[in-house]
Amino acid sequence: MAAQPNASTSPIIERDASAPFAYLSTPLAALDLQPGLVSCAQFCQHVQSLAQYLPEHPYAINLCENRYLFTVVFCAVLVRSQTNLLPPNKANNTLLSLAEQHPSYVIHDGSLEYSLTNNTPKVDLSQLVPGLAPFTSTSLPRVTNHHIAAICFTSGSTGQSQPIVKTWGTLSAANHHNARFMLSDLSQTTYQIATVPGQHMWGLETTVLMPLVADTVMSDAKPFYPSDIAGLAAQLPKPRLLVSAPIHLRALVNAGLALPACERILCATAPLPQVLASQVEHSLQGKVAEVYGCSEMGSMAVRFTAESQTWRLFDAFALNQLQTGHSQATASHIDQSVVLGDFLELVDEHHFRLTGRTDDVVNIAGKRGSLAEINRILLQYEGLEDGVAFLPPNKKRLAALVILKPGHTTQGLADYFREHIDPAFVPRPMVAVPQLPRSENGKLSHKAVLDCYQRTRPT
Amino acid sequence: MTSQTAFETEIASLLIEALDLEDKSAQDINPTEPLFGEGLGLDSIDALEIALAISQKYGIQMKAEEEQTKEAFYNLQSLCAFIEQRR
Repeated sequence: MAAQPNASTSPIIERDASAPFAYLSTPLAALDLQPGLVSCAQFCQHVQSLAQYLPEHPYAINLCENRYLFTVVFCAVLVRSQTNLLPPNKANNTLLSLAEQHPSYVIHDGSLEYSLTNNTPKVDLSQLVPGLAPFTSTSLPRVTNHHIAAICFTSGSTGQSQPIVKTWGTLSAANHHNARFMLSDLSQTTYQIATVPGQHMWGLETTVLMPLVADTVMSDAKPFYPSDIAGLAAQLPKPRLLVSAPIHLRALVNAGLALPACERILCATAPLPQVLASQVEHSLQGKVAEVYGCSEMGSMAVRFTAESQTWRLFDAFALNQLQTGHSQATASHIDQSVVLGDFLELVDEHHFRLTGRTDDVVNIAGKRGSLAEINRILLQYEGLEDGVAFLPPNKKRLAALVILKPGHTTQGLADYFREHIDPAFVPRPMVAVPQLPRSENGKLSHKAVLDCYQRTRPT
Repeated sequence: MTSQTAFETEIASLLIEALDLEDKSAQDINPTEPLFGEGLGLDSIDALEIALAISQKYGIQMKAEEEQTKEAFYNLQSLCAFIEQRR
């Protein structure tokens, strides 16, 4: 079933009422549910019940950790013609600045420790006992395509980071493209095991939205360690669909565990080495589909990494090479175009290869951040004279060279960073130096920074 | 700082190697200082790396939902107690 490009509304869900929608691994008191399968009809009832209960604000900061509750909230927000705000991290300053900029409420499920200290209304779904009033209707309204369903944010930086507006029309169309290119060769209902959060674009598209149109069953859980993944898989029927990232897959195949069979493994967020893709296929007896995308465009291309290094661009997308060597992506269902953070070589209209990353984008453990933004945050630290953050060659973490004002320590700077950005981007090590290798006109070249850094390293 | 037992030094070395903490040595890790957030400043990616190193060296698997896992990751001392109990 293809999305109708000219329709002015799109349905929230396009599944049979009796089909399984979600698997719950834990009881949910707010919805009076025991572990087990939830049907699409039940899901619609839950969305309708919650929609009646939501506060009257145009924006909902959706922080639910339980993936099923997150999805129920996401869709209830749509039913109420409100917008989901999906912050890049849960740092207190991020939430505060988000709440300052949008008339919003926070909705969470008690699994989050935060100390938001303003007048933003808060809804804690874990405190909803005995739960919401049951709702009998098992259908959901259609949503206007130009309605802003969600605002996501790039990178791990604060509220100043670029908001990415997702209309329901965009998400709905993308959902059909994703299902077609990631799952259409699978003939049976798949049961999902996802190590990635639903709040970020990759997990949102595959583990929250995809079950709304494709024959795949989400799970409430977010298994983290290899034995969590194996434990959840043992509860689920076959065939299984593992949605993950290279960092989790590497831990999984190296843990020395007996692993469950997974028919399909979807992997994104960072480049997957071909060797690892083959190991994963061998260990899990399934096929690895690696997906390429970015927050602005969503998923754009797929490849079976163990067999091929060439990406198949989804049909709705087009790429064109700019004179700077960068590539620009456009898509029929997305208003804006975007210059990609990777350099790529076009093979033909539908295929490309990646040839390297542009300088500004760093990928730390699957999280993409802008070096310029991280440096901007560094330079705002009150105890800093001067400093620079960068990614040393062959390292997985950023490093920083800093000149601190008297009375300030790198520990204090690390604490400051953690209040403003995702911990993955906090430089480590941070090396205090007497001066930075700035040229006469004040510029810092990448090479000079690396040389200076190397001289500080223990030999 | 609390002095390290021989096993704590062994695990501290494992952490330094697994996490590539090149500006620290095993002796720099205070057994009673928190590993995450403030203190050593580790994050969830590090937890995954540590769990992997421990599973490879000692054959112990960690589970996110077990209360003992949270307690184990509090500091070097509790991590060592967790490993010694299970190996």
